[in-house]
Amino acid sequence: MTSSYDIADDRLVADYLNRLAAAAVSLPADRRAELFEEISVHIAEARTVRDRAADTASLAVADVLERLGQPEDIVRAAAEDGEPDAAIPTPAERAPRRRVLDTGTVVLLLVGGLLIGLGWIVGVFMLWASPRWRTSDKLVGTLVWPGGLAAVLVVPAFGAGLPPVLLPSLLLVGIGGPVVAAVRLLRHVWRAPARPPADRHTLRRA
Amino acid sequence: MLVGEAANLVAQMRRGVLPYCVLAMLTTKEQYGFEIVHALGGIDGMVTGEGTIYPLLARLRRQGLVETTWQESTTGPPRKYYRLAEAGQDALAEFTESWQRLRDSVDDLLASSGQEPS
Repeated sequence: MTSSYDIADDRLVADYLNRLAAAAVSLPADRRAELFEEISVHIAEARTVRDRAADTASLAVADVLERLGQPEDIVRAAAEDGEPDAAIPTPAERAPRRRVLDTGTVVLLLVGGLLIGLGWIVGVFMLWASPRWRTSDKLVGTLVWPGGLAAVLVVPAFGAGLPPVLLPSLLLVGIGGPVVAAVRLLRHVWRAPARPPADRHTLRRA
Repeated sequence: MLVGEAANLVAQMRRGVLPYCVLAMLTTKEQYGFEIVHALGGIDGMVTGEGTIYPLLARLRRQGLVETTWQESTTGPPRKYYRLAEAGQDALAEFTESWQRLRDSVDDLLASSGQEPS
């Protein structure tokens, strides 16, 4: 073997690419073209590596093809990518849905109590089910105040026996509490999801 | 559990983490296809057939996790370079966090049950 464009090597490559083309007929045209191009370039690239390397045996064409694997297996991998469950759901796809859900949770906590109390209970379930908040946030969301803004409705009943000067402060706490809690929860929902660079440093270290 | 089942499980896990390994390889610099495939192929137990990485790269591109550019090469055919996109960085950061948590938990569990290799 003196030249990288050895006839025997060329034949090996041609046979391999023919098998790939035959197997790939099941793929959509654009994917087939892309795959064929990538594999062809890979082999051509490997042959230039072999050219430059002193040890020509290291990237012999037969080895390159063997490491690539059976053309049929490559096509199978390309075909599987068409299945939805093979895809990585990206944060970009997931984040908006999660955000809408979590925002709905906060709205239910705030005003769900006005819907005969049921909305608030659903909100509490959703709050504790969401991975977004820490336990402390969940406790605040649940306890300030049970029922959300609907808690204000009990103030007049409550306040009947109290001095009238206390009524405004009770109303303020009754309305202000849930609003502050809701703002606190929403800040977690709408703060930019981008991770701090610390995560990537962790990765390199790992 | 049967040995064959464990081997099958490992193959599935490898398939699951491979996309993130590719993303991780691109964090520091963009790389061309052959470079990525050759490096992954050199890691013990990472890929069974190097050729199957190309469909994976194509999928990551379609998902917007990586971006590609063609660049001329002085030594061979033009090269398709892969670069980590912003969505890819987010996906990788999220995976890294989950992976570390899972790995630590499994390690702890195996260690406490005396399965840790001595």
